Amino acid sequence: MRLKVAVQFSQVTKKFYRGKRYQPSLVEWLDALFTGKSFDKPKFKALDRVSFEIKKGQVLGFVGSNGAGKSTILKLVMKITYPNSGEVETQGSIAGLLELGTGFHGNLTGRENVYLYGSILGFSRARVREIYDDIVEFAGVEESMESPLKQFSSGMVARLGFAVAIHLNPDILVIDEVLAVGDMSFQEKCMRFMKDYCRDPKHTVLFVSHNVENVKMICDEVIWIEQGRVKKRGKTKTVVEEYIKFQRKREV
Amino acid sequence: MDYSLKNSTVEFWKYKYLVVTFVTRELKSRYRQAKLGIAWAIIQPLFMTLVFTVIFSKFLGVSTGGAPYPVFSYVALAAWTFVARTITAGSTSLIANGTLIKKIYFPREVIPIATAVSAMMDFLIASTVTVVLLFLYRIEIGWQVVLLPLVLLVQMILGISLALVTSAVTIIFRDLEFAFPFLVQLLMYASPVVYSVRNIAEPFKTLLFLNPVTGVIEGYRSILVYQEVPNMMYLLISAGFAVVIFMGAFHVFKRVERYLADVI
Repeated sequence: MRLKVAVQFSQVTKKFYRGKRYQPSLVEWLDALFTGKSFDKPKFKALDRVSFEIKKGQVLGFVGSNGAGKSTILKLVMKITYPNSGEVETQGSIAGLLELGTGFHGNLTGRENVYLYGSILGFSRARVREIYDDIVEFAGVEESMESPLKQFSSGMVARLGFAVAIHLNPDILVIDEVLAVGDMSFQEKCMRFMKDYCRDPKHTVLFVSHNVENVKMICDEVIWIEQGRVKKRGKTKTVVEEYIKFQRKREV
Repeated sequence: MDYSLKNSTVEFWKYKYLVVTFVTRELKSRYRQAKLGIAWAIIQPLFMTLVFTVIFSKFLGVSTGGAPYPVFSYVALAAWTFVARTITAGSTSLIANGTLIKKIYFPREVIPIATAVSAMMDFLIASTVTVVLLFLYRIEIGWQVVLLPLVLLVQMILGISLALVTSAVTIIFRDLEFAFPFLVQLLMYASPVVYSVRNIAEPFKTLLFLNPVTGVIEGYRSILVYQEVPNMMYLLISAGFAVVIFMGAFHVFKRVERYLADVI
């Protein structure tokens, strides 16, 4: 893998089982445990021989219809799941937000949750203490930090989650649709922040959103995923325009 | 397979605060709702000691070598409760944290290890009663107490190994979630909890020491109840088993780990 590359997918295929939870048989398990390969029986290909690379310092957007495979890509990048075939390589530390409020606990206060979430992302308490004020200030929820999280609005939870993740200062920041619930001013603040963040050549952002305006605002380049394959990759403007046309046609 | 004990240990160490977080979260959530709170860590072994004293000491007259039966059994029960918890709570630990596993990356072994650590916290809380009982029965504390950390260490390695292995195999066979609580009950009678190895004849005595829990329980008993140096051979067997189970558990766990998000 070349030095300037942050993420590289080579011929990556990931199969899923649609519907209920996949229950492999003992034979399948033994095979998997000895060979290290993913379960091959599920038929649905969430990703089908996907290849691309993302350079360090890029803000790369992913667009595509629901179920196209965008989130699967992010899960593979974050090593939450592994491919059936092909290779996923990454360079540098990774932190991400795959879903709003994951790792948060409703009964704990905002402050306690910042520490909880920080430790899930690998922070020490001392480190969280150092950046605590910055986090709260960025999220703009100072006055609520001592009340239980279940009293927060979903927008406030999103703000807090995003603020913690970005202050971890990862090399690769992965964001999946979590900004959608924030209000406009916060979304713009995040967009500005991500732009800034990627001025540092070692920082890379992977951004999934159905809000094409946000994608247009921050991404240098866009990969359009459809039915588990890369349909198009290129300059944000051209790819997004084509994607919008495609979506409109599908509606009709 | 791209894992090694060394790399995993280095990575785990980076996430040590997450273990602390999980442990505090578990202890808080477990006891916050309960009126008697943390006292439950004591009530359980204490109540069982009471029952065992009536049945095994008063009715059946199990010999303890002159030691008061309540102390004799409580010391064993505290350690046994720890082992039982690492097995039963360990087996459900990954499934219980499924949503987290599907959304965020962190070394997965943090989860079962945190389960073992919270069981250890319960054990330490329960051990305060041991001290009270020793005082009530006027049993003097010998110099042998300096050996306690040794037994505690073996117990901890054993507990972590059990939690690791039960959490991983339960992912493979979900039925084990229901089988373990039952197996634990059986296993208790294969461990010298209500009786002592002292009143077991060969060859069963040797057989009993093939159970890694035996060395730990008898270790505590020797030190606290009889003021003797524990039989080092037996403790060594326990330690050996603990390490072997640990290595096995580590490999099974690491291999199961990569499929967690797909099957939970």
